[in-house]
Amino acid sequence: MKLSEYLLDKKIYFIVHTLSLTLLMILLQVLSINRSGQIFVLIFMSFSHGLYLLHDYYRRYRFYHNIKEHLSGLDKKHYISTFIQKPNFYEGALLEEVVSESCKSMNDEISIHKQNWNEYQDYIEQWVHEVKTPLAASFLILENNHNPMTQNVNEELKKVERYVEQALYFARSSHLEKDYVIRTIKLDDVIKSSVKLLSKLLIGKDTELKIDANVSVKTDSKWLEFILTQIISNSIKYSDSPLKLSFKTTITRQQVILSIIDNGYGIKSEEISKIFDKGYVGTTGRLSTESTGIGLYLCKKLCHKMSLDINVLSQVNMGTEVKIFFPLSDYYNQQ
Amino acid sequence: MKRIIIIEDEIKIRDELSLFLSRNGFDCIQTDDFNNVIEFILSQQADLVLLDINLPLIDGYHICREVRKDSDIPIIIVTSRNSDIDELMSMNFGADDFVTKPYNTQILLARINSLLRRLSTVQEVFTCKGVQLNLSDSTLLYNSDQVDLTKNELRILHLLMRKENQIVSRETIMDTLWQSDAFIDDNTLTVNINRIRKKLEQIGIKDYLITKRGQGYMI
Repeated sequence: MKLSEYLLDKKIYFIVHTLSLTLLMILLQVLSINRSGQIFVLIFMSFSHGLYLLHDYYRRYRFYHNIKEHLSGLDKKHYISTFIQKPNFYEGALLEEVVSESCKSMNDEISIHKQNWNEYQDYIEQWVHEVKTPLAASFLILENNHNPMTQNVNEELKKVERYVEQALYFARSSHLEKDYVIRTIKLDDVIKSSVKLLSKLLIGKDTELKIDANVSVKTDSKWLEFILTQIISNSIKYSDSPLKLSFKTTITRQQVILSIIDNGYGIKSEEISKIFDKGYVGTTGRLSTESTGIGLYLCKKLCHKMSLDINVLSQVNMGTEVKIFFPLSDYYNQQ
Repeated sequence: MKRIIIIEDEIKIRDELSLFLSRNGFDCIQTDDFNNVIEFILSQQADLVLLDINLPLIDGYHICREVRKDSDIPIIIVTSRNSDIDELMSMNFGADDFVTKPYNTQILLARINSLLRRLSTVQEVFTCKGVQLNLSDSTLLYNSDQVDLTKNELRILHLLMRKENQIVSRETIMDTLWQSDAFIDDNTLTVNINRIRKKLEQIGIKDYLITKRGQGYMI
């Protein structure tokens, strides 16, 4: 709050005051008070009003300036009420009351939602684990009754399994910290296990597979495995048989880069910036019923949580290359 | 015949799992009484335990730890929890392996076999219709003629011999190879099958490996 702003805000007060002063002067004239008396009254009146305005400005300035300062420094603005001190003028006190009241109700609301969200998340996790038991039973029944029909059901159930897994990772993605173990793992091993999870689909695409990733990185293997299965699933979905899929690594001083390269349909250059957006399926994706727009969104989110970088290069009809960047820590370099 | 104890509270899974394993040459034992699981496992003289984590009354980790105090029997933990932490916990409680539900049956089978083999309680020589497959030195023996096999040839023959008189599809063969890290494509499989046929002929066996057009192969 600047002084000029404050004074501008008081313009009605000034007009009325000037008017009353003029009237007073006229009155004094009529009462034939002499010149010096008039000037004395004029100066006295102006001075006392000025003094009052300055005082009023000062206490307001202190109060509002304090609020503004705190507000701009706050990350979560709804905690502002904690920083407001009760002022010694009425409007300020009123404001303080309104703000603290509404912040309190806001915080109550947030905590209700947080609790609901946590409960929901726990429920999803529990649900996923429960649904895995009937899934496991179904797979075993199908295995014990092998025929072309059960083979088809088996493939469909595999899809259900993957969607269920995706739901689990989606629910977990916002509180990764809960089950996250960073260990030194061999990229090779994680790639192989994710390839194995999708072996039937890859074999169905007559895949020529190359894995050249004999490098160790520090990360959580389960989460990385999930990310890789999402990327490989995309390669399978958006390609024609025979699929060529290769995994390569590049090592620089600061990082290990894992490239996953396919010879699929590729992504149009104008779409590439959006592929990590939630729900985005792109023009190729719209042709397929299996596109949900969740897979890559989750990959990005999980990578971000694990401090990995991920990006995509692609050329239409040539293929796609997904790169994941694993930082090497200083500690790691010294080893 | 190797004896496997299945500790699982879900009756359907238990029954189907034991049917699946018995079809693959194992003898399965189950129990309904979850009060005395530990005593049950220790009393059975089995070769391996498949242990679920979420059980009524006591959890699998506890069982695992208690059994480990008195016995070295191989334990594979089977659970629907799949985080690294769960895996670490299982290993810390003395389990030998960890498989997550819903499991790929081929993977489960491979893990059981490799665990039993590692503890050298599984037969090293496989005989089927007069032909002997030696798993330890990767050779094929018929009468007194012997021929060396590559890793992949050995795996393919082993699979077909285990499924004697059943048609095994190309996809199943490839999937089995993929599960043991041999990511071969369709052409490579054809090449391997042809090489196996040649080697079989070398030691004087004909029409052993039969092609079922459009369906797969059979021994």
